[in-house]
Amino acid sequence: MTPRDLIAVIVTRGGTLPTGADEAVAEAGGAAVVVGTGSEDAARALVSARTVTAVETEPGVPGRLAAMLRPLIEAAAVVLLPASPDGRDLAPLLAVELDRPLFAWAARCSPSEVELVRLDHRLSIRVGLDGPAVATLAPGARGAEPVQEPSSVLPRTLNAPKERPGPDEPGKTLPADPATVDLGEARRILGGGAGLVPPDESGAQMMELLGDVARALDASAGATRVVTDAGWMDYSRQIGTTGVVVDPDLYIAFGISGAAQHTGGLGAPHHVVSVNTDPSCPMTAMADLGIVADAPAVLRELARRLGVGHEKERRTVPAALLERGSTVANERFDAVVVGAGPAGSAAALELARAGRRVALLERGPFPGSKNVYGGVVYGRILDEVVPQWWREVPVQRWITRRSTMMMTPTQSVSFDVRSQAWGGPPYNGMTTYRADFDSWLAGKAEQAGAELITSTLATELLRGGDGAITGVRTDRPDGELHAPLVIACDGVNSFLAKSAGLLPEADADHHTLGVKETLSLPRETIDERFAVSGDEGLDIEMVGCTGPIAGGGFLYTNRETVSVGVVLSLTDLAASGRRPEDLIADLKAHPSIAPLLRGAELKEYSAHLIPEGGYDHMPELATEGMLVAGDAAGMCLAAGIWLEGVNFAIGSGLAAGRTAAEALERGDTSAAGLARYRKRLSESFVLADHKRLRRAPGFVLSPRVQHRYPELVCDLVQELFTVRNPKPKPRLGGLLRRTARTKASGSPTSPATRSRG
Amino acid sequence: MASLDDELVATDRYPPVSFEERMGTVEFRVSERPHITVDSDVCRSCTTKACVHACPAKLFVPTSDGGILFNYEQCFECGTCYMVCNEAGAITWTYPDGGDGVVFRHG
Repeated sequence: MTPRDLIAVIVTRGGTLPTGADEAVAEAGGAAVVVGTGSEDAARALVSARTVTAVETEPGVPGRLAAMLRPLIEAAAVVLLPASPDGRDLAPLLAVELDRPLFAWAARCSPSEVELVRLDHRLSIRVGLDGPAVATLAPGARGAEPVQEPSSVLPRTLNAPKERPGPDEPGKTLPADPATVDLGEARRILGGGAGLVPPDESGAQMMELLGDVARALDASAGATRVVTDAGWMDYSRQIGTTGVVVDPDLYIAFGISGAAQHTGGLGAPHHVVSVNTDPSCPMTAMADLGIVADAPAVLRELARRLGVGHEKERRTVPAALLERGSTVANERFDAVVVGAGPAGSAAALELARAGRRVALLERGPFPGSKNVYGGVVYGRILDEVVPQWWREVPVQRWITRRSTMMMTPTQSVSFDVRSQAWGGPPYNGMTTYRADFDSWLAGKAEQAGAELITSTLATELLRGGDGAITGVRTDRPDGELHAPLVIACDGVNSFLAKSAGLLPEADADHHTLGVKETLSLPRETIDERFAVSGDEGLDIEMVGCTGPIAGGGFLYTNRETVSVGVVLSLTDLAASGRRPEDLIADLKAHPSIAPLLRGAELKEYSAHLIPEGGYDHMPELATEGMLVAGDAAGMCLAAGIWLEGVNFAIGSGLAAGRTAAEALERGDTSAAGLARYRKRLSESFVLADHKRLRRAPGFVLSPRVQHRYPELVCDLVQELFTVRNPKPKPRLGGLLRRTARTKASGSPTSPATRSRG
Repeated sequence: MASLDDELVATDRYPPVSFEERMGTVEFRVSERPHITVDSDVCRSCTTKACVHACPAKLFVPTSDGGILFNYEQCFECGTCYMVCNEAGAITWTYPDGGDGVVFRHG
């Protein structure tokens, strides 16, 4: 070896060569040191090597490796490493060990000059060398030509060096995430082409779905140049002669015609599958399996079956239910839970944990798709679902600040509380979207063994000869599901509870309508306007902001949206002639709210009913063969300063599931056998809180609280802080009496006749 | 006070969102089977027609002959219409078939 020589250093793990290994060896003229585990196998796999020294050693600490390699490489003018993860780890340490400059990401290298590529290969920099150097070579920059004669491989054992500075323990080696693994090293690749993006649809979304499906198959996603040029996928994922050269075992091409520029980068995959509508395209011609079909449709179906992507539809449907037109009359479960909201998923979870076969029916395409709420979940009950739930729950923001605001059209008085204790485990309230939260909780039930059946509506209760409930009929063909026990968690309109005679058909007096707008704002703007930072959030509850209608308003911060809306008494709404969205508009125009929302854009408008009857208007909770939980049982606490629902749904669902498991164990699912449910709820917060606050709903919606108190408080505080010099300040007692008298006299403020301002 | 209200509205109103744009933010998988039916003959005797203004999706429209014209395609499935309905039997309301209807992403 002369000082004019180059030598390549290749780190191998288990005999696998990193991306760009052969290119580095070819650039070094065939001289190489292969170091790591399986070094001899790796050395023989190099096609462009002439003389290779194979050093067998545990990869271990790169600092020690550098010292160990020194005698083998210090004579070379340039030590060249492929810019693979291990190469990039080792190169700077070799530079330090050899006291040489390091040139990273080179395209060409000689003893006298190194050519560096920058800015995504758009800029090339030539650097003259006047001494020895270390460099890393960008993979894919030069390609590698095989040498004819077989290389000579010389195995060497090297002594571990003396103590070296730097960490003693090697960093942890994690298995590669297929989503980010270097495509050149990926064993399975799903490729996306222009044919995967239907007209008028988002290419980025389709590529995201491709990534999700790839992940589920333990594969990596790649794309054609058309796709990366359109910005739908990163350039690092571009397969082809101008992108990454790959060599997977399996390549599945979605909507790729197979232009030479693409297939030129494909290497020699063992199996190629092509999905394309054109049976004669080159990609399908070179495939082992050609699927002549619409690529996006095939990908979506694959996603659906794998239960990935946005549509987690019909994830674990029993096979019989997947067959169109087939009968499911023989499907027998220990229990059928209707509704995969928080109550249903909690109930199914408990039953599955007790070893019961339980079906969890959801009429929406995924859990949460039919659900709307104000925006805060109080999570402590989740302790009973999963320990340290806060580490995995899909949260938007943790509530560390909450405000109660009393309003008139031109005034407001707020009571504002902040506690940093709510910003750490076990936390207090959190904002989250129901699509995310409900899907997560249903996933917990599935993990425990419950069978989630989405896009399936329970149309009626099945009854046995004695009148006891024995299952449900669904809208699937012949879709009867039989079980000795049904748990109705089918929400505020619960048609199951109604058909069992437990709830009245319609009850406008004890329901409110919640309408909500989800508005987008940049994260920093939310942080600034609401005085929160990081993942902290604010909730504001308002009273006196719904004009002539009894109700209230709310505003919650999510990560990059705020939810703002109103809750409206149905009877008042019916009598008022006002429209729900106009009442939100009034709230948004209020001088205390408008500046908070300036520039926000509407992302989603939504509406849902809320059961507000409280303790006194709950239905019977158990009947022959059926339990009722969640909103279906009216378990929503709307008590002024406390607005809670999801926690009561989970609490009642858990209690229903436990009671059901016990009843099944005893073989007694009669109303008497299920009576323990109510007792269990009474002993927990679910009924205890409702009982204690049984008068709250009527009080909160009364004209006093709705109008007189906000006006009284606002006027009083306004007077207190209005300086009327030269008049002296009024006495507080006198001010109180005077304000109360003004508000008490005058026409009685009835909700329907009260004029604004 | 009315003038102050007007002023507030003038300075702090948001760029007006039309009702169509508002409903355009919501995903609906329209079912072939209408899940709402209205007996317009019953509606003719109704004096309040609260469904018309109370429905957050504006699905009910009064007709000149005193009846009600309804849509089911963009329904939130909230149930307000049948709850506020005065006339028994005027509105028949069920859930759409499994997988159909509204899909909330930020509910």
